[in-house]
Amino acid sequence: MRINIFEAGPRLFHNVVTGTLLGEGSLHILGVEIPGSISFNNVAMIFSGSGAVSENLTLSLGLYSLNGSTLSLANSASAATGLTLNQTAFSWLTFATSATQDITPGNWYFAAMSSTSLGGGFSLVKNAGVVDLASSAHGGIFVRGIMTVSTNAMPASIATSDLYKEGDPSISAAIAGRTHPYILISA
Amino acid sequence: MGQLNFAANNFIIPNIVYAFNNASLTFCPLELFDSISWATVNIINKVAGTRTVTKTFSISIGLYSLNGSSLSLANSIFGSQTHQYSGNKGGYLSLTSASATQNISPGTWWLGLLISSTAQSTNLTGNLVGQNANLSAANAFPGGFIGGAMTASTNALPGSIATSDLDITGQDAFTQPIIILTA
Repeated sequence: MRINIFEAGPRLFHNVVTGTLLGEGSLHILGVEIPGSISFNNVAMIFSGSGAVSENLTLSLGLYSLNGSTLSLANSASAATGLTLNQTAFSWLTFATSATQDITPGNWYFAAMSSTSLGGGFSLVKNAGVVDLASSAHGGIFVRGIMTVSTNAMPASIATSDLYKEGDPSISAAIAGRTHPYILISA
Repeated sequence: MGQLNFAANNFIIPNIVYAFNNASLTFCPLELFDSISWATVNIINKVAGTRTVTKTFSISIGLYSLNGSSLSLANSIFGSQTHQYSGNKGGYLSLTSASATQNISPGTWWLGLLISSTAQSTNLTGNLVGQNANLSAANAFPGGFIGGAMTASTNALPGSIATSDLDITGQDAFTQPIIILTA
């Protein structure tokens, strides 16, 4: 089966908010289930900015598969732009993928990382995250969480033992660690 | 047909909590595109209140199939977990004690959630994270069964239950906690 659109979370979800990701070098990792084949070509997030400051904004997105206890990078995409953050509305930010790929149905992981260089702020449309979800992590294999070891590029592979599962008390302080950006792939 | 390592009814998790029906059974759908083993079921709970509290959750989740207008129990999974919360904290409840090994086939399944917790009376309510708030239809959904709740208390998962015996109006029909199945 082929699909033309995949969203990491429905657009109509009424509890979507905007906010920043964790700081530069931290990966937000979100496991998803893609029900049909789709080309990893047109990839987008939605962002907004404020403050009328000039900013160099970079967003990186990795597509990983899980083999045993290792996440392996299958593809990546990035969006980098210099812009003045004076938008009064949301804007699509489209990504350039590193290689042509037809994503097969099944489980995949998105890893997202952001950076800014001039100190301006921007916000991404993302899920709200559960405030104080910090008493216990989810069980079973890794599904969602963060990597806090700083990196300046998408790692080729990540051992899941190096990741914090969502809900882990070790990452209790950062609500941002429990949020994941809205991601849209369209054929 | 593929084999999944995890599946969820929603990958975007809101910051919405709602009080579950203590000691009553609530049904919500689970759509699977591929097969997955019935091994670990995760739901998210959160305690409302600001004091440190220890709560014990007793949880039974039934895996039901719908045949006509009757839900039939195919499998179940259990757990009793105690968590200490230092006010407003939440966490995952992970259930691993399945009553039988099963590889769930793709399609629509129904999860019957039977949850009870201690300290319900101390204003430190146990809640689930998911979708429920502000969604309450006065009439029943006109098509097929989309979810509902038993109005009577129960202490066990029924082997079968007619959907006509479930309340399918109001919030009960919309209640849908975040559920993540992991292999």
